[in-house]
This record gives sequence, C-alpha cells and structure tokens, in this order.
Amino acid sequence: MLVISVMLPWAAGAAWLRLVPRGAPLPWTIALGYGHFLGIVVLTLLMRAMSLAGLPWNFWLLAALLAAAGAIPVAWSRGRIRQALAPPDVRGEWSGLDKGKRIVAIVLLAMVVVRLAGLLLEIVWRPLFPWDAWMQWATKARVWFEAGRIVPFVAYDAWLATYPASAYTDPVPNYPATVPLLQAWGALALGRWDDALMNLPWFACGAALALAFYGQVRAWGASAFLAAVATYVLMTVPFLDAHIALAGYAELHMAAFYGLAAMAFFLWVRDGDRRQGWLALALALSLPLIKKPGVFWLVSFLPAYLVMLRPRPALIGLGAVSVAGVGALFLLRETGLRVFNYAITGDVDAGEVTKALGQNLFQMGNWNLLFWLLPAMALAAWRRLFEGPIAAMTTMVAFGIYFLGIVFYFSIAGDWVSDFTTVNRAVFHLVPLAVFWMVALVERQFHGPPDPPKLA
Amino acid sequence: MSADAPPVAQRHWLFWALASWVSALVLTFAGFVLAFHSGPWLSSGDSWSAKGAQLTVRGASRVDGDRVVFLQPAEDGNLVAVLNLESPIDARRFRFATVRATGGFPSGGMSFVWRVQGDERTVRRVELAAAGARIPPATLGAVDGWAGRIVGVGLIARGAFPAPLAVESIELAPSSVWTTMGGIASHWLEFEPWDGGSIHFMAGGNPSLKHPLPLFLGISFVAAIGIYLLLVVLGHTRFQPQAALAIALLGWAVIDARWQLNLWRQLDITRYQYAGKSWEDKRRAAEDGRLFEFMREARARIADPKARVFVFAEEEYDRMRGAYHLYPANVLALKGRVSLLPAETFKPGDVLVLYRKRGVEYSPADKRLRWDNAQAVKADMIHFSAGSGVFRVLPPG
Repeated sequence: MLVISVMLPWAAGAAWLRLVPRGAPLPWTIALGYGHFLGIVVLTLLMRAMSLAGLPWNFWLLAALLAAAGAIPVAWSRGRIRQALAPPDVRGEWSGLDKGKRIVAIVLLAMVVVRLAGLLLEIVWRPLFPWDAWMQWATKARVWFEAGRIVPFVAYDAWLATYPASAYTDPVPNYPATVPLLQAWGALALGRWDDALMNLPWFACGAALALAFYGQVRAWGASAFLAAVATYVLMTVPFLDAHIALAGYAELHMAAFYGLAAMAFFLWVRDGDRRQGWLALALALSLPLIKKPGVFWLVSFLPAYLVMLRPRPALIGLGAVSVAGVGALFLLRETGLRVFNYAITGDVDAGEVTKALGQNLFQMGNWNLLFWLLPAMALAAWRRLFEGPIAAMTTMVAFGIYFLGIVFYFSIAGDWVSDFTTVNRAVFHLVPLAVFWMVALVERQFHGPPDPPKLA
Repeated sequence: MSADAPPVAQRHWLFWALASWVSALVLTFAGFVLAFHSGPWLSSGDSWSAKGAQLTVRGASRVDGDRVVFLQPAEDGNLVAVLNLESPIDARRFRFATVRATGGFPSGGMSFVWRVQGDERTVRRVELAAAGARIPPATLGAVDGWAGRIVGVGLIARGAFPAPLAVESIELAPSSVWTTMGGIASHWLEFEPWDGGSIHFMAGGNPSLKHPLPLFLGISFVAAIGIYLLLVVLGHTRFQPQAALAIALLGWAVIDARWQLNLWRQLDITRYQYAGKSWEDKRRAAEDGRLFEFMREARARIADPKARVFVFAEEEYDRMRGAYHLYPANVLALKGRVSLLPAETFKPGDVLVLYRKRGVEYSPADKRLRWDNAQAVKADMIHFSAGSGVFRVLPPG
C-alpha cells in the first residue's frame, strides 16, 4: 500500500506530461521526474480541499481521485496512448558516444542508482531522526493523520489562552502544510503511524529529481555523457544525500521544486516550449506551499524574466536596485524591522559569518567540490554569463546569492550561519539550479554559438 | 591532426589531465605537510603513556583493571581526572595526545589538560572530539601552551555521560613527518556517523577541520588547472575542455568515494540498530528509547484525548522530543524555557509531564505539586517512573 501511495500521484503526474493536451509527449525522463512533483502537489491540494470541505481523509477515496486525475489525459488523448507509452530510445540516446565515454557515463549513473538504493534503506530502517523533523513538521503529520483531516495549530500564547484547548500547538504552527501532508499520506496508506516508512516520499523526491535533472540537461542540448556527469555530480552532493537519508525536513523538496521550476523556465525562455512554461509556472507557484522562503525564490523569476525581455536596461536597473537595497539595509538595520521571521539587525559579526561560510562551502564535506567548481566555471566562462538565455540563469543565481547575502549579513540569521545550523540548508535551495547553470556554461563555453532567446 | 600541431600533443588529453592532477596532489600534499607539521621532521624518541587507572578522579568513577570508568561528573558538572608527573616531560618531544576510551562521550565535551612547570596554577587544554566510537588524536602545539616542562596531564569531562566512559590510557606521541602524514590521512578517512548536526553540516572526515579533505582537493583542483594551463602555454599540449572536466571529476570522485564508504558503514550501523524491527521496537532501540517508553506509558495514563498536556524537562531535547512522542495528545513543550509556567496557567484537567525535572516536589498526602518555592497546584500523580512523573491538575481546594 505504501508503494502505491508513492507511485499513484507519481503516475498521475507523469500521465499528464506524456499525454500533454495538444502537444507532443515530453521525454520519459522529464515526464517521470516532473510527474512526481506535479503529483504530490495535486495530492496535497486534494487533502487540503477535503479538509476544507469537512470530509475526513480516506486513503481509497484519495487514491481514486488521484487515479481519476491521471485518467483525464488518458481519456483526452484519444489514439495517442501508443505514442505516449512508446519506450524511450535508449540506444539512440547513447549512440553518439564513443565507447570510453559510454562506459564512464554508465558507471556514473550506476553509482547514482547505488547511492539512491542505500539512501532508501536508510529511510526505511531509521525512525524519524533530525531535530526539526520531529519538533515542527511531523508533529502536524501525527495529529492530522489521527484526526483524518487538517486541524489547526496555533502559537503558544493562543494555545495557552484557550481552555479547553480548541487547537494544537508546536514551535512553528504557521509553516506550510505540504511536508506533513506527505507524511500523513504515507501513514494513511499504511493505516498506522510509522515515522520511518512514512518518509518514503523523500526517496521518491530524490529519484524524481535525478530523472528530471537528467532530462532537462539533455533538453538543454548537452550530450548524454555530460548529462550523466552532471546528474552524478548533483546526486552525490553529500548534503543532498543527507537530506534524503535523514528525511523529514522541507529543504530537499524546496531545492527540487525551485531548481526544476527554474530549469523549465529557462527552456521555455529559450525554446518557447509552452509545456516547459506550464511546468515552470506550476512548480514555481508551489514554492510558497513548501516553505515560507519559497516566496522569495518565486520572486527570483521576475528579474530573470526582465533580463530576458530587455537585457541591458534590466541589468542596469537590477544592479541599481541591488545597490540601493544594500544601502537601505544599512539605514534600516537598527530599526528591528522583521520580514517573515527574520529581523533586520546591525549586530551581525560579518567576520564570523564569512568564516563560517568559508568553512561550510569550501572546507567541510557538505558540498564535495561544488563551491570550488562553480566560481571556476563562472570565471572560465565570464564572457558568456549574460549571453542569450544564460543571462536568465546568471540573474537567478545572482539573485539567490544576493538574497542569501542579505539574510546572512543583515538579519538575525547571521547567528545561525555562525553556529552552522542554517547556512547549508539555505544554500541548498540554490544547488540544483546552480549545477544546471554550471552545465549550461560548460555547454556554452565549449560548444556551439549562443541560442537566441525565444520568449513564448 | 593538422600538420602544425606540436608533436607531443599526440598524447591523449587524459594523459595531461592525469599528469596535472597527480602533480597537483603531490604538491598540495607537500604544502599541507609543511603547513601542519611542527617540531623535528624525524622522530626524536619513544611515545609516553599512562594507564587510565593511574588517574586521580574527582567525580564518580571506578577502577576496572588498568582502566578507569567515568560514571558521573562532580556537583559542579565536571569530572576531572589528573596525573601528576614525578619526572616532568619535555613538551617538545611530543606532538600528539591520544586518549584511548570507549563508551559515552560527555554531553558538554572533553578536554585533554596539562600543567607546565613554573606556572602550575594554570590549566591548559585542547578539546577532544568524539568521532564515532573513538577519540581521534589531539594535536599539541605551542599556540595552546604545550611548551616547556609538563608536570601534570589529565582530562576534564563536562556534563553527563550518556553511558559510562572507560578510559584505557593517555598516550603522547612524538613528532615526525610520518606521524603528520599519517594524521592527515587518518583525518580524511575518519568515519562520521549521523548525529544531531548531520542535517545541518558534515565535516567530511575528522570534525576538528584541521586537515579537511575538500580543502585539499579543492586546492589540488586549482593547482591542477594551473599546471595544465602552464603546459598549454609552454606548448606541450593544446587546451582541451575535456581535460579540465576530467580534473574536476577526479577530485569529485575521490571525495565521493570516501562519502560512499562512510554511507555504507553508517548503513551497516543503521541496519544493526533498526532492521527487521517494528516501528515501536525501532523507537525503543533509538538513542531516546527510555524517553519514548516513558512517554508511551504517560500517554496511556493520560487517557483523555482533549486534555491539555504540558511537558517540562531540564534538557531541551527531552522536553521537545518527549512532546513529539506524546502526540496526538494536545501537547505544549516550550522551546528555550526550562522552568515550569506559573501555577495560574494550569487548569483542572490539565496534565503536567515532568521528565527528569529538578526543583519540583510532590506531596502525596495533600496532593500538592510545588516548584519555584511559591508556586503550587493541587494534582494527582497518575504515573511515576525512574524519577519522572505525570500529574493531573485537580480543582483547587
């Protein structure tokens, strides 16, 4: 049943992408990868809708609704089923590679499979482990599973003020519901609470990210060899692996949704492919449903889009706004202004933050060599950073660095950088996007002329 | 190949990539050794060691053969174990301190300490790290005050021991280039198990960050690219992007191989601890098994699903984790607050779960629960186990 609970939303999402209304099917890797993320968005929206309607959750009812959602494109497709179910042309995919590259690529992809298999066992065996997972995410999953619906969580003060209690409480009652809903769905499938097995969606997220990333790198035009190398690089980032193995945090989903939304956005910008545009929109709009900072990552699409529309004026304008923003922060930092949970402050020890960043990005085992390779690649391809559609990627990466810089150096989050508790989790959101950017720079630097942007 | 290509360019690009990378590895490793080595290059004598049983301990302990077993800290929260040396030793002869111990590492950490002749009142120290089941050697340097003639060595453990810690010996090893090289390599290969910090960061080897492997391979990557470009400038080969990609990938693969081995070793531990168990048995086998068991019993006794349940404990971990085990009861555990709330907060029917909570008294005769001197409520004790209790608040009177 648990396997069905993972596969059903996944299959429903993939069905929509292989049987795109009025369009050619997306490649299998993209359909299977993105299908998972679309499926879990639909699933959690259904769970929300049932709660809102006062209907108690029922596994079989939800499963039937998901199956019906997956059946819609099948019914709609008329006669295109055979085309949609045609197996991928693996031989053709690899035919252009010489033997040496083919062997290396196969070894690297096999290593990704081995890695994911090990992480799956870790998830299945280990009960919920990391701190915030049991303190602020699974608290809601447990209550909602037992109640069979979403019941409100309120802040401590509100909870204490009510007697008898009409709501529940935990340290972060207002966090988005998606992650606990995924866990509650797993428990519904099992028919009992099991805080190890309910975390299977974290494995699915990792596997789907690998598929989707490979597919998008290929869609960008990289060779199967480079796509395999890039997928190996992304999926063996130790911090990403840790967030699969020690399931229960929202960071993995946040990074996957943001990265994949961005990749689809870039492909839409470059090729005018509406299917990619819709994927980008669906995943980007889901970002605030996963974690509150998702709003900021959603906003990051705006400057990237502006740069595509009017490159030179947009870059000049964004540069000016960025400088003005930092200037304003210097003025505002004594006011204690709060944005979400982050209070602006002038008390951040910039030296300590910089040291902690240096240690975490370059010295420790969190990121393998990623943060050595990224600047090296940007330096090697510095003339091409703002060429064609790569300008959108560079702008989005720059926005991310700028945003994190502000959070780390001008807000109370500076303390959480110095004590290592937030720095890597915040940076993690950018990682799939950054790896894709690196691949695009490799591709652009060493192959072919720039492609003109084709906005849909 | 075009006629004007340099003849040596016939070598495969992979040859030049490998040559550049290996050269960079050697150069960077030499740089690491130069940076981290101090003292004589070759060993200047034998090691020195003392048995654990020779230590004089302040705090609860017992001697077990040649070992001393640390049980509990003294009242000030520290356990101090020292050995005064009748014949002082020359600090310059030794570079590494190894504490051979097994068991529970103290919650507040542990230091290797020493005193120097002429300044006996100052206790100098270096922190010891726990890495898996062992304590890696600590590097001793003048910067920490390891100089002159040492008249006493010992250990200071801070906080509680999750399990007794048996100290077999303290060993001082002399300085030599081989020891330095071995120390660097052992730091890289050190197993790093999952712990509470793993979701936030991973050292990627020894947690002291003295010789980080990613730093070594990152510098090697930059150096290898530099060497490769130099070869290109000198005309030995032509620039091929695949070579740069291969250099990057080789370094990545080395770190990844270490990471994969670490994951497999961890998986073996996880399998041993949890595989084949039911969910409840997994919870009992976890590091907080006792807490889980207590909270399950508490939940059974609470019975009323609508009751407001307050969890208090000295340790934040116990408080928050205990609350997690109590859900779906309607629980409140306060982050950052150790003390109980004021008495007027609690209403009849509320439940107070006090897990390893100090400063609270219960009088069964008059059913009064008292804390902070002036605070009290009338309550029934509905569960008690190993110093922790569950109380249901009664109407006053």
